[in-house]
Amino acid sequence: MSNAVELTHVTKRFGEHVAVNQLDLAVPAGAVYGFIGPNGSGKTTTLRMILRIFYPDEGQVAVLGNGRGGAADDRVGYLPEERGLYKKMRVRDVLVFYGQLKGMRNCRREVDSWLERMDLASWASHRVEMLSKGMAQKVQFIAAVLAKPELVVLDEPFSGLDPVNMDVLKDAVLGLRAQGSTVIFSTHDMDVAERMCDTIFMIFRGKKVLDGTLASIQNLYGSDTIRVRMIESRVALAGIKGVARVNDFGPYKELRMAPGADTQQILRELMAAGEVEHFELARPSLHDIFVRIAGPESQEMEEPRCA
Amino acid sequence: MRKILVIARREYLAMVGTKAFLLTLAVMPIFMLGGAVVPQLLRDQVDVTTKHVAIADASQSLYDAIAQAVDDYNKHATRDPVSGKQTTPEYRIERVQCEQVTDQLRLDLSNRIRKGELYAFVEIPASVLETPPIGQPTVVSFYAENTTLSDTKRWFDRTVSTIVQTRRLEQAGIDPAVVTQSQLISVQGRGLVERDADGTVTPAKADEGVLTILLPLGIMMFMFMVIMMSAQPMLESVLEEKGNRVAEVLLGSATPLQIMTGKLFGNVAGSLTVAVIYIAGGFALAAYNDVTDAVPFAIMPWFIVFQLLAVLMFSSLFMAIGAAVNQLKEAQSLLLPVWILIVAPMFVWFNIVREPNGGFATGISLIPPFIPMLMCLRMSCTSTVPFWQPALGVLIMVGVTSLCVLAASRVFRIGILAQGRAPKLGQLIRWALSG
Repeated sequence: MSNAVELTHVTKRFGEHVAVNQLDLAVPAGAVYGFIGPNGSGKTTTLRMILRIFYPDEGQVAVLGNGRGGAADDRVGYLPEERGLYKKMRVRDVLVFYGQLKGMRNCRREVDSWLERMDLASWASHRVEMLSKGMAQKVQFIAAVLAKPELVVLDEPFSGLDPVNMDVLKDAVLGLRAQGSTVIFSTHDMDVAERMCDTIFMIFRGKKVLDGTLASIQNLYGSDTIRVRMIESRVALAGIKGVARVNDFGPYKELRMAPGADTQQILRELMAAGEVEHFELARPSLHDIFVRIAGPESQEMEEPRCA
Repeated sequence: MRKILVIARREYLAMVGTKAFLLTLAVMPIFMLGGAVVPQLLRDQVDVTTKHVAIADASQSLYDAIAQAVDDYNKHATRDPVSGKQTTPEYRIERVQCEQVTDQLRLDLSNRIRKGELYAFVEIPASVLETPPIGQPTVVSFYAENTTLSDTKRWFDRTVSTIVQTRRLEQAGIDPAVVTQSQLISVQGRGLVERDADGTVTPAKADEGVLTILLPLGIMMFMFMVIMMSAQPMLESVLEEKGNRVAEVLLGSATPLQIMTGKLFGNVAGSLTVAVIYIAGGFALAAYNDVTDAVPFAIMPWFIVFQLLAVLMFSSLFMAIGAAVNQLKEAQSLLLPVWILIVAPMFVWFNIVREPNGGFATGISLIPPFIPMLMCLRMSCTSTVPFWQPALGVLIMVGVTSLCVLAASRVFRIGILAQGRAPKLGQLIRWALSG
């Protein structure tokens, strides 16, 4: 089995609204696959179709070689976006319950091991409602991966986590890949997607607009980005010839070059405007690509760019 | 099956393992039986303020006899003979001199009642001792602010009637004592003669009076209480799972039918726990009061079967509605028809207790939603309900409950993932029928 998930010409409508439109997708087995896209673009709907919580109006969804069947599949683990836990249950009890539902027997030791790993052992006997959002997210993650699923679907697993907890969860996700599981997760954090995903898929207005490795996606855009750090952060760069767009982060700025622009000319104008500390010709970041596609000034393609 | 049991176990523990459950267990009987018990507990809390009553006797012939009766009553009937504590109010009467009771006199006396000088006044017509034509009784009027539930009115009614009856008998040359003796007859209610395990014929028990009404009512209310305690948590449980996205995680592990079946199993186990606790408590209470003979043990198996079916049926309906909506308040309008079905037996219980084997009782106790409560009500009133009737009731309920669970599972499957506006009743029915 080369692909863990295959979507073929999948369309899903809610009334008049087309949430997902003629989507084709192949998630290789053992990959970490990142779903990105603006809010309301169809990410969660696609994930729910992969989980068979929703059925497509058109097209085929095959998961782990199975093109039919319902949502209940012990080989698939799922972390919904926020919540998903019984508030009144104790942490260990709720995890044992989810483990048993996935067919595990005597999973208490496994649960305690995961709680230890996630630094939640001291909270095992507390009710879920006592947990912070980050803690609850980690408990939810354990529930999704406890039964060692072949496919793990994580909807916004890193939202609301502090950097320490994010690293803990990130390591756990990469650990799943090392064990051979396929991981699909959605995120709004482009940095996480860049660093963790083997393949990135972007959906916008229900259509696939990106699908491939980070390098292949960046190659589609070429080296049209200049990263600059100026000593004086308030220098205005908007009028520089050959610069199509400025993404201003204060002292650090990302400039998108217009087609045919001269980098040496841009550097000279930058030096004339202020003292340049760093100048780098680079491929666009995933963040920049995302904004190019989904931002208010979007002029990007309607057709998908798939490497 | 294992997943169903895992879900059932969680549901059961979530239902019975909370402080709220224990609190409800304690409070529910108070709500249910409070209306019957509290008046009994407060029966000694009566107003013993002396009641002033004016007697306007146009016949000029009864006042002295009434005064004598009042005197006897005040001396002998107003205090507990053992403790000496006053238990009923004394009466003070005053004579209103009149040959005829006019509207002005009635108005004056009414105004004195309004001012609090009098509690009531009695108007006795001049013709009170004359034997009236058949069908046209002589009317003696008792005026007070509220006469419907007045003990004083009832006392004067009895007293004046007795005095007038005695005088009329004397006028007719009949000895009142003979009439009184001739009325000494009583028809006593009894149960049925039975043959016990040894073959001995046991005499019929005397009618237990009010117990024969309260016990069937209590059994029906008990079933109602168990349904309430079981069905409502189902609604809340499904709402929580839907609101917290737990439903999505569950659906990733079990089919909608497995989830619903597991929840229903847990719920039924919870309702059985409630039933066992209350039945044990009720039996202990009956033993304490030495009325275990009145407990209809023979219907207990039927009761358990009907209770399980009723809980399954109503819990599945509550669960379907919980799955279809997003908030408790959205469920209220959809629950109304279900509540009507649950409460409807309360409206007819008295008719059924009066004639448990009558045509009406038999017919209505075989209509599906009412079968559990009304069949148990009938069977606790009389042992002569033919066997085929509860047996048919069970068969009908098994069929209807199966349909309800099937329909509810269809609604549950669609509703549990539906967001946005709550569906209307018609849409729910379409979901249930479309499959």
